[in-house]
Amino acid sequence: MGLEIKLTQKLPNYELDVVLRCEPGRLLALVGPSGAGKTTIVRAVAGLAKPDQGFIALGPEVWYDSKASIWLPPQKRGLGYVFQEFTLFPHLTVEKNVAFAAVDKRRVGELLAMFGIGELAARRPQEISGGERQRVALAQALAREPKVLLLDEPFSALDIATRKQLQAELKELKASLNLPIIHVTHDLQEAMLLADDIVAIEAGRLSHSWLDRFLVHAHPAGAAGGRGVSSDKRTFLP
Amino acid sequence: MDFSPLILSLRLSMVSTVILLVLAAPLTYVLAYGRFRGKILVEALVGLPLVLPPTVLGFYLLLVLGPDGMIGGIWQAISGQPLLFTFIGIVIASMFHSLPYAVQPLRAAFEKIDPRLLETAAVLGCSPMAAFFRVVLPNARGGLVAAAVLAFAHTMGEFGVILMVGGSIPGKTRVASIAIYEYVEALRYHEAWQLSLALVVISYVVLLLVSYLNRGGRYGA
Repeated sequence: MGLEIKLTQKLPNYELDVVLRCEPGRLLALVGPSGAGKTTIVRAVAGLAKPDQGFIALGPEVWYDSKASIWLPPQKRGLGYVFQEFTLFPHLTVEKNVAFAAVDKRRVGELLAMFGIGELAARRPQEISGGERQRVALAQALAREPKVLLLDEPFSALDIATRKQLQAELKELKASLNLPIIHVTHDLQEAMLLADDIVAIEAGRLSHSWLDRFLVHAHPAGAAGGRGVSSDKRTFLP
Repeated sequence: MDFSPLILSLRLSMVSTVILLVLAAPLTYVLAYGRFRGKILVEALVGLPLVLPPTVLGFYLLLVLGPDGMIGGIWQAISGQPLLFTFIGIVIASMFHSLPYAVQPLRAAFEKIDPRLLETAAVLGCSPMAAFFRVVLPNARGGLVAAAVLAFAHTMGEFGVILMVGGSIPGKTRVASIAIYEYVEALRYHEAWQLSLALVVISYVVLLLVSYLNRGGRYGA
Protein backbone atom coordinates (compact mmCIF):
# COMPACT_ATOMS: atom_id res chain seq x y z
CA MET A 1 0.00 0.00 0.00
CA GLY A 2 1.81 3.06 -1.26
CA LEU A 3 1.49 6.49 0.24
CA GLU A 4 0.32 9.06 -2.25
CA ILE A 5 0.74 12.76 -1.56
CA LYS A 6 -0.37 15.71 -3.63
CA LEU A 7 -0.64 19.06 -2.04
CA THR A 8 -0.60 22.78 -2.51
CA GLN A 9 -0.41 25.25 0.29
CA LYS A 10 0.14 28.99 0.30
CA LEU A 11 3.05 29.84 2.58
CA PRO A 12 4.25 33.36 3.45
CA ASN A 13 6.96 33.52 0.78
CA TYR A 14 5.97 30.95 -1.80
CA GLU A 15 3.48 28.27 -2.66
CA LEU A 16 4.16 24.68 -1.70
CA ASP A 17 3.23 22.44 -4.60
CA VAL A 18 4.41 18.84 -4.58
CA VAL A 19 3.49 15.37 -5.74
CA LEU A 20 5.17 12.46 -3.97
CA ARG A 21 4.82 8.73 -3.68
CA CYS A 22 6.34 6.32 -1.20
CA GLU A 23 6.00 2.55 -1.40
CA PRO A 24 6.07 0.17 1.57
CA GLY A 25 9.57 -0.90 2.51
CA ARG A 26 11.07 2.22 0.99
CA LEU A 27 12.47 5.25 2.69
CA LEU A 28 11.83 8.54 0.94
CA ALA A 29 14.14 11.30 2.09
CA LEU A 30 12.99 14.90 1.79
CA VAL A 31 16.03 17.12 1.69
CA GLY A 32 16.52 20.82 1.09
CA PRO A 33 17.19 24.06 2.89
CA SER A 34 15.27 24.93 6.02
CA GLY A 35 11.98 26.62 5.43
CA ALA A 36 11.56 24.87 2.09
CA GLY A 37 8.30 23.23 3.12
CA LYS A 38 9.52 19.75 4.12
CA THR A 39 7.99 19.82 7.55
CA THR A 40 4.77 21.25 6.15
CA ILE A 41 4.53 18.15 3.96
CA VAL A 42 4.95 15.63 6.79
CA ARG A 43 2.64 17.58 9.05
CA ALA A 44 -0.03 17.37 6.38
CA VAL A 45 0.56 13.63 6.04
CA ALA A 46 0.29 13.26 9.82
CA GLY A 47 -2.94 15.25 9.87
CA LEU A 48 -1.51 18.00 12.06
CA ALA A 49 -1.96 20.74 9.49
CA LYS A 50 -4.49 20.91 6.72
CA PRO A 51 -3.17 22.04 3.34
CA ASP A 52 -5.16 24.35 1.08
CA GLN A 53 -5.67 21.71 -1.55
CA GLY A 54 -4.61 18.20 -2.34
CA PHE A 55 -4.96 14.51 -1.86
CA ILE A 56 -3.28 12.13 0.59
CA ALA A 57 -3.98 8.42 0.60
CA LEU A 58 -2.46 5.22 1.80
CA GLY A 59 -3.48 2.62 -0.77
CA PRO A 60 -7.28 2.70 -0.89
CA GLU A 61 -7.51 4.61 2.40
CA VAL A 62 -8.07 8.30 1.67
CA TRP A 63 -6.80 10.55 4.46
CA TYR A 64 -7.30 13.86 2.73
CA ASP A 65 -9.14 14.88 -0.38
CA SER A 66 -9.89 18.57 -0.66
CA LYS A 67 -12.33 17.99 -3.53
CA ALA A 68 -14.37 15.45 -1.58
CA SER A 69 -13.92 17.37 1.71
CA ILE A 70 -12.29 14.36 3.35
CA TRP A 71 -9.97 15.05 6.26
CA LEU A 72 -9.06 12.28 8.65
CA PRO A 73 -7.82 13.55 12.04
CA PRO A 74 -4.32 12.42 13.08
CA GLN A 75 -5.57 9.89 15.63
CA LYS A 76 -7.38 7.96 12.89
CA ARG A 77 -4.43 7.70 10.50
CA GLY A 78 -2.42 5.07 12.29
CA LEU A 79 1.03 6.52 11.86
CA GLY A 80 4.26 6.87 13.69
CA TYR A 81 5.83 10.32 13.85
CA VAL A 82 9.21 11.05 15.37
CA PHE A 83 9.92 14.76 15.82
CA GLN A 84 13.27 16.43 16.32
CA GLU A 85 12.99 16.48 20.11
CA PHE A 86 10.85 17.02 23.20
CA THR A 87 7.94 14.81 22.40
CA LEU A 88 8.15 12.12 25.05
CA PHE A 89 5.66 12.44 27.85
CA PRO A 90 7.53 13.87 30.86
CA HIS A 91 5.11 12.38 33.40
CA LEU A 92 5.71 8.82 32.18
CA THR A 93 8.67 6.48 32.48
CA VAL A 94 10.49 5.29 29.37
CA GLU A 95 8.58 2.02 29.50
CA LYS A 96 5.21 3.72 29.85
CA ASN A 97 6.10 6.11 27.04
CA VAL A 98 6.75 3.18 24.72
CA ALA A 99 3.59 1.45 25.95
CA PHE A 100 1.51 4.64 25.53
CA ALA A 101 -0.05 3.56 22.27
CA ALA A 102 1.22 -0.01 22.05
CA VAL A 103 -1.15 -2.27 20.16
CA ASP A 104 0.30 -5.31 21.88
CA LYS A 105 1.59 -4.49 25.36
CA ARG A 106 3.70 -7.66 25.35
CA ARG A 107 5.82 -6.21 22.55
CA VAL A 108 6.95 -3.29 24.71
CA GLY A 109 9.72 -5.30 26.37
CA GLU A 110 10.84 -6.55 22.99
CA LEU A 111 11.05 -3.00 21.61
CA LEU A 112 12.94 -1.76 24.67
CA ALA A 113 15.48 -4.53 24.14
CA MET A 114 15.65 -3.92 20.39
CA PHE A 115 16.57 -0.26 20.91
CA GLY A 116 18.90 -1.05 23.79
CA ILE A 117 16.88 1.02 26.26
CA GLY A 118 15.72 -1.81 28.53
CA GLU A 119 17.85 -0.57 31.40
CA LEU A 120 16.24 2.86 31.19
CA ALA A 121 12.70 1.48 31.47
CA ALA A 122 12.01 3.07 34.86
CA ARG A 123 13.63 6.43 34.09
CA ARG A 124 11.86 9.54 32.96
CA PRO A 125 12.63 11.21 29.62
CA GLN A 126 14.29 14.19 31.32
CA GLU A 127 16.74 11.83 33.02
CA ILE A 128 18.19 10.26 29.87
CA SER A 129 20.38 11.55 27.05
CA GLY A 130 19.20 13.03 23.76
CA GLY A 131 20.18 9.94 21.79
CA GLU A 132 18.37 7.69 24.23
CA ARG A 133 15.29 9.87 23.99
CA GLN A 134 15.19 9.51 20.22
CA ARG A 135 15.49 5.73 20.56
CA VAL A 136 12.56 5.81 22.96
CA ALA A 137 10.62 7.99 20.52
CA LEU A 138 11.26 5.50 17.70
CA ALA A 139 10.22 2.59 19.92
CA GLN A 140 7.10 4.53 20.94
CA ALA A 141 6.18 5.17 17.32
CA LEU A 142 6.74 1.55 16.30
CA ALA A 143 4.83 0.14 19.29
CA ARG A 144 1.63 1.47 17.81
CA GLU A 145 2.35 -0.68 14.72
CA PRO A 146 2.03 2.23 12.33
CA LYS A 147 1.09 1.98 8.69
CA VAL A 148 3.41 4.85 7.80
CA LEU A 149 6.48 6.16 9.60
CA LEU A 150 7.32 9.87 9.51
CA LEU A 151 10.71 11.03 10.73
CA ASP A 152 11.11 14.80 10.94
CA GLU A 153 14.78 15.62 11.50
CA PRO A 154 14.91 12.88 14.13
CA PHE A 155 18.65 13.06 14.64
CA SER A 156 19.51 16.69 14.01
CA ALA A 157 19.55 17.72 17.66
CA LEU A 158 22.13 15.03 18.48
CA ASP A 159 25.90 15.22 18.58
CA ILE A 160 27.74 13.75 15.61
CA ALA A 161 28.78 10.44 17.18
CA THR A 162 25.30 9.67 18.47
CA ARG A 163 23.78 10.77 15.20
CA LYS A 164 26.00 8.40 13.20
CA GLN A 165 25.13 5.54 15.49
CA LEU A 166 21.40 6.14 15.31
CA GLN A 167 21.62 6.47 11.54
CA ALA A 168 23.27 3.06 11.38
CA GLU A 169 20.62 1.59 13.65
CA LEU A 170 17.82 3.04 11.60
CA LYS A 171 19.37 1.69 8.41
CA GLU A 172 19.34 -1.77 9.92
CA LEU A 173 15.85 -1.39 11.34
CA LYS A 174 14.48 -0.17 8.03
CA ALA A 175 15.01 -3.53 6.36
CA SER A 176 12.60 -5.16 8.80
CA LEU A 177 9.86 -2.56 8.41
CA ASN A 178 7.55 -3.08 5.51
CA LEU A 179 5.98 0.34 5.50
CA PRO A 180 6.43 3.64 3.72
CA ILE A 181 8.90 5.83 5.58
CA ILE A 182 9.32 9.56 4.98
CA HIS A 183 12.44 11.04 6.45
CA VAL A 184 12.95 14.79 6.53
CA THR A 185 16.52 15.94 6.86
CA HIS A 186 18.71 18.83 5.83
CA ASP A 187 21.68 16.47 5.96
CA LEU A 188 22.24 15.07 2.49
CA GLN A 189 24.74 12.50 3.71
CA GLU A 190 22.15 11.14 6.07
CA ALA A 191 19.68 10.97 3.22
CA MET A 192 22.17 9.14 1.01
CA LEU A 193 22.93 6.63 3.73
CA LEU A 194 19.33 5.82 4.54
CA ALA A 195 17.12 6.62 1.59
CA ASP A 196 15.89 4.54 -1.27
CA ASP A 197 14.60 7.69 -2.92
CA ILE A 198 15.69 11.26 -2.39
CA VAL A 199 13.66 14.32 -3.22
CA ALA A 200 14.94 17.83 -2.84
CA ILE A 201 12.44 20.52 -1.95
CA GLU A 202 13.32 24.12 -2.51
CA ALA A 203 10.91 26.99 -1.98
CA GLY A 204 7.99 24.62 -1.99
CA ARG A 205 8.83 22.74 -5.22
CA LEU A 206 10.68 19.59 -6.12
CA SER A 207 14.10 20.76 -7.19
CA HIS A 208 16.84 19.05 -9.10
CA SER A 209 19.11 22.03 -9.14
CA TRP A 210 19.40 22.13 -5.38
CA LEU A 211 20.43 18.50 -5.24
CA ASP A 212 22.88 18.90 -8.15
CA ARG A 213 24.42 22.00 -6.67
CA PHE A 214 24.91 20.15 -3.44
CA LEU A 215 26.35 17.10 -5.17
CA VAL A 216 28.88 19.08 -7.13
CA HIS A 217 30.47 19.93 -3.83
CA ALA A 218 29.93 16.63 -2.08
CA HIS A 219 30.28 14.12 -4.91
CA PRO A 220 31.44 15.69 -8.15
CA ALA A 221 31.23 12.39 -10.01
CA GLY A 222 27.69 11.73 -8.92
CA ALA A 223 26.46 15.05 -10.11
CA ALA A 224 28.07 14.59 -13.49
CA GLY A 225 25.72 11.69 -14.10
CA GLY A 226 22.82 14.08 -14.18
CA ARG A 227 19.95 13.27 -11.84
CA GLY A 228 21.39 10.17 -10.24
CA VAL A 229 22.76 10.32 -6.75
CA SER A 230 24.48 6.97 -6.95
CA SER A 231 23.72 3.68 -8.66
CA ASP A 232 21.20 2.56 -6.09
CA LYS A 233 19.75 5.93 -5.19
CA ARG A 234 17.67 8.03 -7.44
CA THR A 235 15.77 11.21 -7.23
CA PHE A 236 12.16 10.47 -7.54
CA LEU A 237 9.70 12.20 -9.74
CA PRO A 238 6.25 10.70 -10.19
CA MET B 1 -17.97 28.59 71.55
CA ASP B 2 -20.08 27.59 68.55
CA PHE B 3 -17.92 26.00 65.88
CA SER B 4 -20.74 25.16 63.49
CA PRO B 5 -20.20 28.22 61.20
CA LEU B 6 -16.58 27.22 60.81
CA ILE B 7 -17.41 23.61 60.04
CA LEU B 8 -20.03 24.79 57.56
CA SER B 9 -17.46 27.03 55.84
CA LEU B 10 -15.03 24.12 55.54
CA ARG B 11 -17.72 21.82 54.19
CA LEU B 12 -18.90 24.43 51.71
CA SER B 13 -15.36 25.11 50.52
CA MET B 14 -14.50 21.46 50.11
CA VAL B 15 -17.66 20.46 48.29
CA SER B 16 -17.72 23.45 45.96
CA THR B 17 -13.98 23.18 45.21
CA VAL B 18 -14.19 19.51 44.23
CA ILE B 19 -17.22 20.00 41.97
CA LEU B 20 -15.76 23.21 40.57
CA LEU B 21 -12.49 21.53 39.56
CA VAL B 22 -14.32 18.70 37.82
CA LEU B 23 -16.23 21.27 35.75
CA ALA B 24 -13.52 23.92 35.35
CA ALA B 25 -10.81 21.58 34.03
CA PRO B 26 -12.64 20.56 30.83
CA LEU B 27 -13.93 24.12 30.37
CA THR B 28 -10.38 25.46 30.64
CA TYR B 29 -9.13 22.80 28.21
CA VAL B 30 -11.65 24.02 25.65
CA LEU B 31 -10.70 27.66 26.32
CA ALA B 32 -6.97 26.94 26.14
CA TYR B 33 -6.92 24.77 23.00
CA GLY B 34 -10.29 25.07 21.34
CA ARG B 35 -10.90 27.26 18.34
CA PHE B 36 -14.47 28.39 18.07
CA ARG B 37 -16.50 31.47 17.37
CA GLY B 38 -17.27 33.65 20.35
CA LYS B 39 -14.38 32.32 22.42
CA ILE B 40 -13.47 35.75 23.79
CA LEU B 41 -17.08 36.28 24.80
CA VAL B 42 -16.96 33.09 26.89
CA GLU B 43 -13.57 34.06 28.32
CA ALA B 44 -14.84 37.45 29.43
CA LEU B 45 -17.93 35.84 30.94
CA VAL B 46 -15.79 33.42 32.95
CA GLY B 47 -13.72 36.32 34.29
CA LEU B 48 -16.71 38.47 35.20
CA PRO B 49 -16.93 37.34 38.87
CA LEU B 50 -13.44 38.80 39.36
CA VAL B 51 -14.62 42.34 38.76
CA LEU B 52 -18.28 42.32 39.77
CA PRO B 53 -19.27 43.35 43.29
CA PRO B 54 -20.44 40.21 45.14
CA THR B 55 -23.82 41.83 45.65
CA VAL B 56 -24.34 42.16 41.90
CA LEU B 57 -23.32 38.56 41.27
CA GLY B 58 -25.41 37.51 44.27
CA PHE B 59 -28.43 39.39 42.97
CA TYR B 60 -28.33 37.65 39.61
CA LEU B 61 -27.72 34.29 41.24
CA LEU B 62 -30.71 34.98 43.46
CA LEU B 63 -32.80 35.30 40.30
CA VAL B 64 -31.27 32.30 38.51
CA LEU B 65 -31.38 30.01 41.54
CA GLY B 66 -34.85 31.15 42.59
CA PRO B 67 -37.95 29.07 41.92
CA ASP B 68 -38.64 31.01 38.71
CA GLY B 69 -34.98 31.05 37.62
CA MET B 70 -33.40 28.67 35.15
CA ILE B 71 -31.36 26.57 37.58
CA GLY B 72 -33.70 26.93 40.54
CA GLY B 73 -36.74 26.01 38.44
CA ILE B 74 -35.12 22.85 37.05
CA TRP B 75 -33.90 21.89 40.51
CA GLN B 76 -37.32 22.35 42.01
CA ALA B 77 -38.97 20.33 39.25
CA ILE B 78 -36.57 17.43 39.82
CA SER B 79 -36.16 17.44 43.59
CA GLY B 80 -39.26 19.26 44.79
CA GLN B 81 -36.97 21.41 46.99
CA PRO B 82 -35.99 25.06 46.61
CA LEU B 83 -32.36 26.05 46.05
CA LEU B 84 -32.36 29.44 47.72
CA PHE B 85 -31.38 29.52 51.38
CA THR B 86 -30.07 25.92 51.24
CA PHE B 87 -26.58 24.43 51.45
CA ILE B 88 -26.73 23.21 47.84
CA GLY B 89 -27.75 26.71 46.78
CA ILE B 90 -24.67 28.30 48.33
CA VAL B 91 -22.47 25.53 46.87
CA ILE B 92 -23.67 26.44 43.37
CA ALA B 93 -23.33 30.17 44.07
CA SER B 94 -19.79 29.68 45.38
CA MET B 95 -18.82 27.75 42.27
CA PHE B 96 -19.89 30.63 40.03
CA HIS B 97 -18.09 33.11 42.24
CA SER B 98 -14.85 31.08 42.37
CA LEU B 99 -14.86 29.99 38.71
CA PRO B 100 -12.19 32.47 37.51
CA TYR B 101 -9.97 31.58 40.47
CA ALA B 102 -9.94 27.97 39.29
CA VAL B 103 -9.75 28.70 35.57
CA GLN B 104 -6.78 31.07 35.66
CA PRO B 105 -4.16 28.77 37.25
CA LEU B 106 -5.46 25.82 35.25
CA ARG B 107 -5.14 27.76 32.05
CA ALA B 108 -1.62 28.87 32.88
CA ALA B 109 -0.68 25.24 33.56
CA PHE B 110 -2.36 23.92 30.41
CA GLU B 111 -0.70 26.53 28.22
CA LYS B 112 2.69 25.64 29.63
CA ILE B 113 2.38 22.13 28.21
CA ASP B 114 4.37 21.83 24.98
CA PRO B 115 1.85 21.70 22.12
CA ARG B 116 4.05 19.07 20.48
CA LEU B 117 3.11 16.68 23.28
CA LEU B 118 -0.51 17.03 22.28
CA GLU B 119 0.44 16.51 18.64
CA THR B 120 2.34 13.38 19.58
CA ALA B 121 -0.67 12.15 21.56
CA ALA B 122 -2.93 12.76 18.57
CA VAL B 123 -0.57 10.98 16.17
CA LEU B 124 -0.38 8.10 18.65
CA GLY B 125 -4.14 7.73 18.42
CA CYS B 126 -5.50 9.88 21.25
CA SER B 127 -8.76 11.72 20.68
CA PRO B 128 -8.77 15.22 22.20
CA MET B 129 -10.63 13.80 25.20
CA ALA B 130 -8.15 10.97 25.69
CA ALA B 131 -5.31 13.49 25.41
CA PHE B 132 -6.97 15.57 28.14
CA PHE B 133 -6.92 12.69 30.60
CA ARG B 134 -3.68 11.01 29.55
CA VAL B 135 -1.45 14.00 28.80
CA VAL B 136 -2.91 17.35 29.86
CA LEU B 137 -4.12 16.59 33.39
CA PRO B 138 -1.07 14.60 34.52
CA ASN B 139 1.21 17.39 33.28
CA ALA B 140 -0.81 20.13 34.97
CA ARG B 141 -0.81 18.82 38.52
CA GLY B 142 0.69 22.02 39.88
CA GLY B 143 -2.08 24.01 38.20
CA LEU B 144 -4.72 21.71 39.65
CA VAL B 145 -3.33 22.19 43.14
CA ALA B 146 -3.15 25.97 42.70
CA ALA B 147 -6.70 26.07 41.34
CA ALA B 148 -8.01 23.98 44.23
CA VAL B 149 -6.31 26.16 46.81
CA LEU B 150 -7.43 29.45 45.31
CA ALA B 151 -11.00 28.26 44.94
CA PHE B 152 -10.98 26.81 48.46
CA ALA B 153 -9.52 29.92 50.06
CA HIS B 154 -11.79 32.20 48.07
CA THR B 155 -14.87 30.27 49.17
CA MET B 156 -13.71 30.25 52.81
CA GLY B 157 -13.67 34.03 52.77
CA GLU B 158 -16.82 34.54 50.75
CA PHE B 159 -19.45 36.81 52.23
CA GLY B 160 -21.68 38.88 49.96
CA VAL B 161 -22.76 36.23 47.50
CA ILE B 162 -23.62 33.72 50.22
CA LEU B 163 -25.56 36.32 52.15
CA MET B 164 -27.61 37.18 49.05
CA VAL B 165 -28.34 33.59 48.04
CA GLY B 166 -28.28 31.77 51.36
CA GLY B 167 -29.11 34.30 54.00
CA SER B 168 -27.93 33.29 57.46
CA ILE B 169 -29.58 30.09 58.55
CA PRO B 170 -27.63 28.45 61.39
CA GLY B 171 -26.21 25.06 60.36
CA LYS B 172 -27.28 25.51 56.74
CA THR B 173 -26.02 28.76 55.29
CA ARG B 174 -24.55 30.69 58.22
CA VAL B 175 -20.89 30.36 57.30
CA ALA B 176 -17.98 31.69 59.35
CA SER B 177 -17.66 35.05 57.57
CA ILE B 178 -21.34 35.78 58.07
CA ALA B 179 -21.25 34.63 61.68
CA ILE B 180 -18.31 36.96 62.35
CA TYR B 181 -20.20 39.89 60.85
CA GLU B 182 -23.21 39.13 63.01
CA TYR B 183 -21.11 38.78 66.15
CA VAL B 184 -19.55 42.17 65.50
CA GLU B 185 -22.91 43.74 64.86
CA ALA B 186 -24.15 42.32 68.18
CA LEU B 187 -20.98 43.61 69.86
CA ARG B 188 -20.00 40.05 70.79
CA TYR B 189 -16.32 40.74 70.12
CA HIS B 190 -15.10 37.73 72.04
CA GLU B 191 -16.84 35.27 69.68
CA ALA B 192 -15.84 37.36 66.66
CA TRP B 193 -12.27 37.17 67.85
CA GLN B 194 -12.27 33.40 68.24
CA LEU B 195 -13.89 32.69 64.91
CA SER B 196 -11.64 35.14 63.08
CA LEU B 197 -8.54 33.65 64.60
CA ALA B 198 -9.69 30.14 63.66
CA LEU B 199 -10.20 31.30 60.06
CA VAL B 200 -6.73 32.85 59.96
CA VAL B 201 -5.12 29.67 61.31
CA ILE B 202 -6.97 27.39 58.89
CA SER B 203 -6.14 29.58 55.89
CA TYR B 204 -2.50 29.74 56.92
CA VAL B 205 -2.25 25.97 57.33
CA VAL B 206 -3.85 25.43 53.92
CA LEU B 207 -1.34 27.76 52.27
CA LEU B 208 1.55 26.03 54.07
CA LEU B 209 0.30 22.67 52.91
CA VAL B 210 0.20 23.91 49.35
CA SER B 211 3.73 25.27 49.40
CA TYR B 212 4.83 21.92 50.77
CA LEU B 213 2.99 19.96 48.09
CA ASN B 214 4.25 22.27 45.36
CA ARG B 215 7.83 21.69 46.36
CA GLY B 216 7.27 17.96 45.82
CA GLY B 217 5.68 18.37 42.41
CA ARG B 218 8.15 18.33 39.55
CA TYR B 219 5.88 19.02 36.61
CA GLY B 220 3.44 21.65 35.58
CA ALA B 221 2.98 25.12 36.88
